[in-house]
Amino acid sequence: MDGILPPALYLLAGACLYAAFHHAAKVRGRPLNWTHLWFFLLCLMVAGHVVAKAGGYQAQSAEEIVFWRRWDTAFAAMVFIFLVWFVREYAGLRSVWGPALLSLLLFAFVPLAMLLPHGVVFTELPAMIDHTLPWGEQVTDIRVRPFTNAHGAGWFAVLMSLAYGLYGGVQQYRRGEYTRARWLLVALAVFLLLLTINFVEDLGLLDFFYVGEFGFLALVFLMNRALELESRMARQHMEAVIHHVPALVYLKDLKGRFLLVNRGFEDLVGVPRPALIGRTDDKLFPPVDAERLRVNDRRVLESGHAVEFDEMVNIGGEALSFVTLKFPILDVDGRPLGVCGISTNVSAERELKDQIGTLKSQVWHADRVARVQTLGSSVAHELRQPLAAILANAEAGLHLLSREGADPTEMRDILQDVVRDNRRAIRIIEGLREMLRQGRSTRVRVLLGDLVSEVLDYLQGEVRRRGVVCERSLDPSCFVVVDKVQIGQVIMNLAMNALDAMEDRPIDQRQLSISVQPDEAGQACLTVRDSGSGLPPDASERIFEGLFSTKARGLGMGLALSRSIIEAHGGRIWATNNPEGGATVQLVLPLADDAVR
Amino acid sequence: MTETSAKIAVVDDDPSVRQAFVRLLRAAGHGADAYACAGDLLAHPSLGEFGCILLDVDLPDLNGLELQATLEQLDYAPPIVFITGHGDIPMTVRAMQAGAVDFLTKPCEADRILRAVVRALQIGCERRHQHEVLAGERARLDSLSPREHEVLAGVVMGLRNKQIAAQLGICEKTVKVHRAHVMEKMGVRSLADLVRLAERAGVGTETDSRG
Repeated sequence: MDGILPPALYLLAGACLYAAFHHAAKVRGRPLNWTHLWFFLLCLMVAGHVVAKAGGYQAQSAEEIVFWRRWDTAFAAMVFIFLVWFVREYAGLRSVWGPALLSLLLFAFVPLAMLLPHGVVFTELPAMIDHTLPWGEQVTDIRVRPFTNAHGAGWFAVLMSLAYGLYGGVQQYRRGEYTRARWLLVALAVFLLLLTINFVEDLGLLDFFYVGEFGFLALVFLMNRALELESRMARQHMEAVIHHVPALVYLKDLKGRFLLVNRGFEDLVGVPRPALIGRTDDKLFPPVDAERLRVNDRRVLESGHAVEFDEMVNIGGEALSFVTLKFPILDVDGRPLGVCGISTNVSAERELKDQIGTLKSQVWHADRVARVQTLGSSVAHELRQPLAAILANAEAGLHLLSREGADPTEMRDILQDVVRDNRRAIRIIEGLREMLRQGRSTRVRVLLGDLVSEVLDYLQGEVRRRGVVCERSLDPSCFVVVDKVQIGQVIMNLAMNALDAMEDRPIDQRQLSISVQPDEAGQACLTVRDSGSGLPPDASERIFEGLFSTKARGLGMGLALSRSIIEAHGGRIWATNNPEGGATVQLVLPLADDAVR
Repeated sequence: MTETSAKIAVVDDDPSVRQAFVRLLRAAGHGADAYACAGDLLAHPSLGEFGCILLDVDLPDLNGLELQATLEQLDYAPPIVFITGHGDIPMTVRAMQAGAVDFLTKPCEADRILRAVVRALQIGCERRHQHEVLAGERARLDSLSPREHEVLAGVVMGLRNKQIAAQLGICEKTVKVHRAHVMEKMGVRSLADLVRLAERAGVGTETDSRG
């Protein structure tokens, strides 16, 4: 009994077990699919089968042979059941009926082998038959004799499942999955060859030894290799994709250490990839930026889903803007393992947008100045006429008076003319005020929230540059009929004032919130609330008067103009200090008629 | 200030300004007439009687500068004082280059207006005087007979009587008689005066072009 066959079979079983656990280890931490599961079970069953086989060869009595033979047969049936399902998953076949029928057929052999009189055959064995192996070793022959119908059915089922495997491989080949199909077909071919030899021996046509088990080894080895190659390929593909994505892709663990960065990240930061792995943000970026990034990471981990952020990071003295999508990476149990981020560098677009915004606001300002200038010069011209007339009349009167015997009638005429021209001058000034109040404006129906968004878009660069957190809540139903340019100027004015007011606040205390909502009086109410220094006492009314400013460089015209514009639109504007600091400017405008309905 | 007898035309589309200027000028002792636009002024039969024009640049029909150009084409143009509500530098330069006396901006102190007007009247007076002298000389020149003209031309060219006689194909004595007539008709005593007068009236150029 001290031969080499049983130890070799134990070795084989060990190899199969190793394959099963190796495979399981590979699969760990990744989403489990059925292919993996079936292959794992297949490996286990092969190992069990080989152990039972080895036990049989070492049997000392007929009862022992029968015991091992039963397990051997049961395991073999299971192996083929799992083989069928493995092939189905691996080859991506869709039908369930074929594998199900085959499984049922094969499964019938498990109780048959364990319980039924199948064993009678063995008990009738007169003695243990020894068999001499080609290398001279003597082992107990555990084959079942004579060949029964149950045997025939068993072989049929086995051959059917192998045929199914071949069919799966061919199907796969035709679908163009050549690599997978090749591995499967090669494995099955080896297996089939060895089984055929077994079968032929079983029929007594060939007097050779029964070594079908090594076919299992081939199958297991080749398939394991195929699966491993596949997963390596998948990883390679994934890495290639990640490295060539134009965005920055990175994975951080819970402590913020980089687990993976792509080439884009490496290029931007200017540190080679191996040196980046294991580092944290504060080793790479200025502390303020790193802290901000960590805050975002934590927010993603808390929320448990993907969140998009606007991030700003100083790299090499250059402030870069990113749009970043961050999402938590979970382990199999759904616990967060880390955070993955995909950041797109939008600095150039941002800069362009900021420039456009600045230009637009400059244009707005220039337009305002130009309007005032045009108005001013036309008014000046209009006023010159009556003033010239008044002056000339008055001087003529003086001349006349300086003479002897001035004519009172003429003097009266002169004075009447002076009065008339004076009135005319007054009318001109009144007209100017009227013009300022109503303007030559074109009023259109517009969503107040849209105007606010438009202005805030222009100011986005300014807001970001000053580190202000800007919240907006814009009601989507507040339609107003206004001059878009004028009201836009008012909004911009209020927003700029709010930003200016927060200039000397610490960077984390700069909050601007702008809201539009209908108030209870059926008007659209715009609220601009800042966390700035607030208004000086008793200034809440004076700020709306011309030439009063709380700013060092202010002209004191902005709010005065705003008020005249808002009043010309039939609205009201006022300012208050917030209890928690900062100021709030509110204005109401009448809603458009059809919005009330 | 004998010149103040000449009238001043005030052209301004604004009636109250027009009225006020006229009143001012009258109070200062000038005669003044008001016109609402360039057309009204040009329709006046004898523009020459105006001592000067106080002109607004913005007129409903012709712009003040265009009116100035139109007046320049007349024999005698009264000098112009511009007064405008919104003059700019190019406009001022153009007006001054075209011979305006002054360019004032409304509203303007009466003193400046009157000073400018007085200066314009003086210039106008001189211009008119010159114009009148020239016109008298022209009239006298026109009273010469054709033969006397020819003789005068010869004299101005510096020819001797004999040469003139030879040129005209008449005897020297006749030339002498004609010459005496010319002197008498032109009202000059010396040959030098005659030549100067003839040159001013353009006789010299006339002969040049002829021969």
